[in-house]
Amino acid sequence: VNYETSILAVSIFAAFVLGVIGLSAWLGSRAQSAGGYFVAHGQVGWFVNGVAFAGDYLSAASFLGICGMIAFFGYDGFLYSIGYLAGWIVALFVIAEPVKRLGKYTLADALNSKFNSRGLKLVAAISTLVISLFYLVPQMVGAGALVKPLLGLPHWAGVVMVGVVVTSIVATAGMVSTTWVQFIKGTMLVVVCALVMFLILERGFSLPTTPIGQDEVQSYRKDASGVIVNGSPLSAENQLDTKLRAAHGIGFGSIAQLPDGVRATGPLGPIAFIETFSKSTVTTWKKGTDAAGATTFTPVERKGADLLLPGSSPTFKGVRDDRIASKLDFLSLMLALFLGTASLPHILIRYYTVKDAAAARKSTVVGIGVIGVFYIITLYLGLGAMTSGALDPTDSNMSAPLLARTFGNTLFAVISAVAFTTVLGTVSGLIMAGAGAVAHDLLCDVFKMELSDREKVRAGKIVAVALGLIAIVFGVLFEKMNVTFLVGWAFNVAASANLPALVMLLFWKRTTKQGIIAAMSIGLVGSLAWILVSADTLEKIYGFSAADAASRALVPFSQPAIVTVPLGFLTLIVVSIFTSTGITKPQTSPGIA
Amino acid sequence: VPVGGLASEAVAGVPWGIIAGFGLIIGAFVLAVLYATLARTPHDGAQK
Repeated sequence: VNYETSILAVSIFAAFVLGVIGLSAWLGSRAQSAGGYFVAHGQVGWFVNGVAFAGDYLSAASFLGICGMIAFFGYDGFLYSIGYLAGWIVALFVIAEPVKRLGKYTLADALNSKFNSRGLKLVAAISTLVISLFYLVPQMVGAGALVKPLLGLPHWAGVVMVGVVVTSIVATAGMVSTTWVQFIKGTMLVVVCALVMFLILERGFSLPTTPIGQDEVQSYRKDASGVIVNGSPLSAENQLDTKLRAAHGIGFGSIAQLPDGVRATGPLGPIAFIETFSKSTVTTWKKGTDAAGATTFTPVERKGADLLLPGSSPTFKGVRDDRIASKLDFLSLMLALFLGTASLPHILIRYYTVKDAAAARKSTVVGIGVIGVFYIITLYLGLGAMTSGALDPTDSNMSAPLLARTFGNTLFAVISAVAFTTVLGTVSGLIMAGAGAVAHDLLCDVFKMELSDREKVRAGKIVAVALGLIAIVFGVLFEKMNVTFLVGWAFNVAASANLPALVMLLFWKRTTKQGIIAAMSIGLVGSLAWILVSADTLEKIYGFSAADAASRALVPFSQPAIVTVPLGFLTLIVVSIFTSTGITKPQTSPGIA
Repeated sequence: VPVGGLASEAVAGVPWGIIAGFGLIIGAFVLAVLYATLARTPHDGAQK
C-alpha cells in the first residue's frame, strides 16, 4: 500500500508535537515539588481530570488497535470496546474513592496504608513497573506504525520520536504537563473521530466500479533482490493494491453487494448505516501462504450480518468453537478487560490529582462519558474502514488513519497527528506511574534513601528517561504485533496482580500484609508465566507455526485471568488466615515482611 | 454463514449484538451519573 509523505501532514504533525513540548516547558515551573511533580498538587479540577482519564485510557490500542480489529474482523474489535468500558464500572464503584482516601502518590501507598511494610511496597512497585512496561510496548508499536505513512520514516524512527517527546514531557513538568497533554488529547481524539464518523455516514456505502473476482489473489514475498509484489519488484507504481485499484477503482476492503441491488446508498443515519451493513456482502481478505512461500491475500465475500457476530478473529474464535478451552480463553480475556481497568497503575494514580473523594467520583463519570462516546464511534470508524477500499492488509493498526486519508490528506494528517498525541498522552501517564513507583516507593520507602523534595523530583525525572529508553527498545522489537492484542496481556497481568489485593484490602478486615504480598506475587508471576508458555506467545512471539504452537503450549488456553485472578484471591485468603493475629494494626516500625 | 442469535435483527434492522454493546456502554454511563448524583459518603469534601 502506497504511503506518500505529504508536506501538509508533516506540518500539522510538527505543529502538534511542538505545541505539546511547548506546553510542557511552560508548565515546568509549576512542578518543582514532589507533590507537584507526581500528582499535580492534587488540585486538578474534576472535569479536566475526567477528560484526562479518557486521554490516559484511550491509548493506541483503543484508537488504532480497535479500529483495525473491527476493520479486519468486524464485531470482535467492538468486544474490546465493551470490555474496556465495563471495567470503568469496577473502577467507579469499588476502587475510586478508597484509593483516593488511602494513597498519596502511588498504588503502593494505598495498598500499604494499613501496614507500613517495605516488602509490600517492593512488590507493589515491581507490579506497577511490570504492568506499565507491558502497556508501554503496544503504545510504542502504535507510534512506529503511524510515522511510516505520515513521515515516510521507518518504524523504529517513530518509536524513537515518541520516546524522546514523551521523555521531555514527563521530565519537564511531570503530572502537571501530563494532565494537560491528556486533556487536550482526549478532547481532540473524540472531536476528530466524531468528525470522521459524520463523514462516513455522509458518504454511505458504494460498490467498486467492477466486482472483485474470488480468484484475484494478491501476494508479496521477500527474496534476495527485495520485495516482489504480484510477481514484479515493489515500487511506487507497483504496490500491493495497485492491480486492484486499476481494475476496480478501489483497494482492499470493499462492499461486494448492497441490499435492494443499488450501487450506492448515499448518506445514511447511524441506525441505517448498521442496518445496511448488516444486509450487505463485504469483500474481506484472507491472509495465507502459497507454495512458493509468498504471503497471499485471497478475497472472501462475507455477509455483513456474519461480520456483526463475535468470533471472526483469531483472538475470539473460541466463541464459535465447541472446545471448552476456546470458550474459556474468550471468557478469560473479557474478565481481564473488565477487572484490569481498575487495576492499571497509570489510571489509579490519576485519582491522586483531584482534591477529594467526591471529585474522584465525578471525574470518573466524566471519563466514562467521554470514553463511552469514543467507543461507540469506533464501531463506525472500523466498519467505515472495512468498506473504504483503503485497508493495508499487512497492518491492521493503520486502518483508521488510512480511512481518514480517503477523505483527503488534511484529515489524514490531522488524524495521524491526533493518534500520535494519543500515544504521547498514554505513554506519559505510564512513565509517570513507573517514575513514582521507583522514586517514591523503591528509593524512599524500600531502600530508605533520604531524599529531599527536590531530589525526589530529580530521581523521578531520571527514572522517566530510563523508562523511555526501555520503551523504545521494546517498541522496536514488537513491531508486527497488533496493539490491541498486546494490551490484552497488560490487562491480564494488572487484573491478576493488583485487583485481588485492592479489593480484599478494602472489603476484608482480616487481610494481612503477608496475604497481599503473596497474592500480588502469585498473580504477577502466575499471569506472566501463563502468558509466556501459551500458544499465542509461542506463535506470535517465538515464531512457531499455529499447529506447532498449539501442541507445544503448556497451558490449555492463552488468556490467564480466569485462572490467575481467582488464584490471587485464594492465595490472599489462605495466607491471611495463616498470618492473621486477629486484629490488623498498623506497625510502628517498618520492616521487610 | 451463521446468522441468528446475536446477529439476528433486533430493532430497525440492527443486530442484537450491536444493541447489546451500545446498551452496555450507555447503561454504564447512566449508572455512573446516577451514582455520582446520589452517592454521598462521610469522606466527601475531605481534602488530602
